[in-house]
Amino acid sequence: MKSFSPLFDELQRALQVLPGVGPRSAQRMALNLIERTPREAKTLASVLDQALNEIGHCQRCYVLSETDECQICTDAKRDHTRLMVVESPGQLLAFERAGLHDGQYFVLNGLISPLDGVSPDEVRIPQLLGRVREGVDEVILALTSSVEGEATAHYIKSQCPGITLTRLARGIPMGGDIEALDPNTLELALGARERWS
Amino acid sequence: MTPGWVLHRRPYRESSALVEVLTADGRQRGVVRGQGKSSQLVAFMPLLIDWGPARDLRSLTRIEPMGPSVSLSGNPLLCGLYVNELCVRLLPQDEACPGLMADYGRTLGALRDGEIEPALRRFERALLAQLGFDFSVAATADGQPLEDDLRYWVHPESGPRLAPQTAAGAAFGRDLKRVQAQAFDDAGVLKLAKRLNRQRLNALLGDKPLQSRLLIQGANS
Repeated sequence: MKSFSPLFDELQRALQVLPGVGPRSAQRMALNLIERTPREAKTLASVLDQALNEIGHCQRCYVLSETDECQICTDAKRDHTRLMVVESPGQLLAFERAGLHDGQYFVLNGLISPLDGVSPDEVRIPQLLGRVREGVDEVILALTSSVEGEATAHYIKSQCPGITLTRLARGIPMGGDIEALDPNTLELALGARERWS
Repeated sequence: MTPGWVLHRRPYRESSALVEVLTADGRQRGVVRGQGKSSQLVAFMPLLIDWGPARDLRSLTRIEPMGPSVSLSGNPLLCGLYVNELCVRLLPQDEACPGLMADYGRTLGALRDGEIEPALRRFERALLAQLGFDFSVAATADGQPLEDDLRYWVHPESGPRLAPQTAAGAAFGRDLKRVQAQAFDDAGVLKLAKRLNRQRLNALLGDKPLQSRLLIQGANS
């Protein structure tokens, strides 16, 4: 196909970096930005630029932050002795949206995965251990229920002797149709059944 | 449908997964499309597979778990990952390995039951045999039978040869025979088997260390 603007082509290619965006959606987005909403597109460009320059990581919990320490870490009302370990900023946001955890967080950079060559150092385990050594009463492991999540949890446990570690329960999700569940989830749910009367 | 074991799954594109499986046809790799289908595949799971047409990257068009994955946690889980990493690193893709699936299943069962070291040594031996490194330590490199009370050095490729009887690091003939017979009732024999297997595996693995081995060492240090 003949190109009418090399810059437009470049914009289309650049938009495909977004998750779930292929060539067709990228073309629609690019046309929309330039033809229909040029003012908003300018705002988008400047906010994106500013965000990339100014957003970094909190030096304490590694969530995205514009300051050295994020608002959660500097909030005196939060319980500093309960530390929840999550594997991505998105998971932290899920807990914050639900408003269920009033302690602090530590955001890992993914999970340990030897078959993908991902070592403890690469997912910030040394930094986590440093944070734990500052003093906590409980470390809550809120990690994905997977082989990698299990390996990461075990490794953290091996490095935290004497620390109270808890982990999220695993089993049937709310509204989950038992008929459609995989055998692993069923096994976990049955194994973790509780006395009802 | 072909029976197999899931060795590893990694996310692929938006909602698919790239899966490594062990079947009688060898270590095989393919794509599983769809979030629901791909997310239920986890390492150590036995399953039945229908393959799509052969292309660069084949699809697993239909999968049916044959039960839950073998449930491992703690150190046995890390050892299971070691077994999987050995398979993924060393087994050539699509090269038949008919007996290995049964060895793999037995190994996972033993790991789950806490019988870790002997199970790992047996699996390493089976894998080495599959890769064509089934040399015997029952006789020396020049064909002499091993004597129980003499000491031998074992070279990873040429096999045992007689060592000076005061040599450090040389193994007694009787211990080598027990390694050969996989009679792992003695901690010393088990350690010797570990050393011999590791020599041979390291020669095949080259410079890139096994991440799972480093992880096990880190967790136990």
